[in-house]
Amino acid sequence: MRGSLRTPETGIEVFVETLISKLLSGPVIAISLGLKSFGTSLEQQGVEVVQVDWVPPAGGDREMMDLLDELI
Amino acid sequence: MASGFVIRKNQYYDSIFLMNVNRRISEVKGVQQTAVLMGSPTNKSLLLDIGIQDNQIESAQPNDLIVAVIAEAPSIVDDVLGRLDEWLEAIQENTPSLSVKTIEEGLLQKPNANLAVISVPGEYAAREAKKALEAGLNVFLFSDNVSIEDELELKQFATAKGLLVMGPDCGTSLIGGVGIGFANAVRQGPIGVIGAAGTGLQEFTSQVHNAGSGISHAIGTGSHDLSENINGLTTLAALEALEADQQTSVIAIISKPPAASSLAGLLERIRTCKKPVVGCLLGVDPVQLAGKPNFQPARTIDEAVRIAIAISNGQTSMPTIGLTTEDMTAIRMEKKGWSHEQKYLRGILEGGTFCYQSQQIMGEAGITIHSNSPFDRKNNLADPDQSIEHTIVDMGDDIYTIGKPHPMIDGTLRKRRILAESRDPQVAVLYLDFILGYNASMDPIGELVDAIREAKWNSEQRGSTLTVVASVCGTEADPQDVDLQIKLLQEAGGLVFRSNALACAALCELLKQE
Repeated sequence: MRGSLRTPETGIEVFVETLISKLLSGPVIAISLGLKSFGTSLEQQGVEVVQVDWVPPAGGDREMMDLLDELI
Repeated sequence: MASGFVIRKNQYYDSIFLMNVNRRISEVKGVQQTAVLMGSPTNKSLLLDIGIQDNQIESAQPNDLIVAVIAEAPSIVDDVLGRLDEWLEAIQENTPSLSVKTIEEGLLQKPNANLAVISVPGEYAAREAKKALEAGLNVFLFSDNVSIEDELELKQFATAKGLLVMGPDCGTSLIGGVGIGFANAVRQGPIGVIGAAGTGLQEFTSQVHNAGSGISHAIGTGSHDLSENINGLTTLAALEALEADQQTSVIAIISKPPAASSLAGLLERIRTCKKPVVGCLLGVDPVQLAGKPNFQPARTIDEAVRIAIAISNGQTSMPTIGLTTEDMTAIRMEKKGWSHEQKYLRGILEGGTFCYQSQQIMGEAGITIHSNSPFDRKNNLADPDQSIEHTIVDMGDDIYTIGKPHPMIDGTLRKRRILAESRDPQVAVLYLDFILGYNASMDPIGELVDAIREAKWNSEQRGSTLTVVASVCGTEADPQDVDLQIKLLQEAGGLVFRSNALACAALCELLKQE
């Protein structure tokens, strides 16, 4: 469901929680992949972070990646 | 001159790690050029550009580390490459060992995760972002070079799932006080901001903090979100989220020039928004924005800050901050030192939004600026490395960052450009911006200060004064010491301003015909 503030027939605004509003109301809990320093700076701000040890899938071979995606 | 290279199969490192290794190796005496990179097709072509080619390099894969060195003597090349493990370990000692290999595995560790922060190379970014959205995660997508088709698909998918995609090419966001990517440390407060302009968002949030107020959330959308292809999908989702957010009492929007269709859709949504909206939409004719319901247009980011704070405080306006008497005196003194030849401005910027805003402010003062990111196509620089008359170069542009770190984390290219411009006797003013915050260089001004001194010295040798104007974006809570950074600039003879708009006001005064 999208949206957050909804005004039903009663005329009273109700708050509808979405995945976006859950993020904004916090706390941020992150999965970081790519630059390790991005994950580190989040940790330093007290954020729970899982840093993924990311490498290009299938050795960076595009065709192999597409094939893997089809298999999954 | 001698050269050599080493390839390590299946040894992958991220670009900041590689930059740090590269920096260390390049400091070795006798080393003239180094390249520490992964074997992607783009990187391999960069090696070709510096004259390093070999069949082994051609067959290297994106997971293979390549280290190439050009030095004064073969013994230096052999020494550097022979000590490769030492260089790698020196950087790696602070990096914890990691066992999680995929987003799915990450979710097993943190099943309540709500955000994926993705900064992998562009060619893999859309694939990873799609996986994150499928797993129900909002996405901060720092990676650039993602196709517009992939961006649209990701954002449509996110819309259907009620998720937010900040990016691609999203440099910064602040969610509930947490800075993601290149963000400044700012206090929390009542102002929510949405930005299709990374450095513009940093400028806005820093200034709100420095003026004593605070930010509820700053949501980066990625630089293409208000293009005609994407039509503001993330901007609209962010507007809806901030409209419902209880911390936010006023919403600001900062953008580089938006497409007409996106702007129309955005203004229509703002009309029905239940919270007041302030916007600094660079490049949009003010007449087009005048009188729009529930929308207060601002000419500059500084003005947007003042309006947003005033609204959040229940005031009608806040005083305009302009140049001080001391600033005007300093400007007059600088101009007295110029030779009759000196007349041109050369801006060497790291912030793309600052490049646009500078052109807008100076254009309004009747000053034509040439740029590699021109406001008006007729002022496009044919060769970004060759300035024409008044020029402002966006050094964060793709042409300068493919295979190289952004100038916010590595000042090497700006250093070279400062020195090159200082050799032109017609140059009167250099303008530099500095952006502090998380993930930026820890000593951005220290990196360039020797080049600034040398540039001024070059001018002195010709019996003239080179004026250096700088703007510093940041807060006292940033990891860098902002006061110390400013002091370094002032000691080197720079005129320092705390915003790009204020620096541009000084530039207009400097370039004004007497």
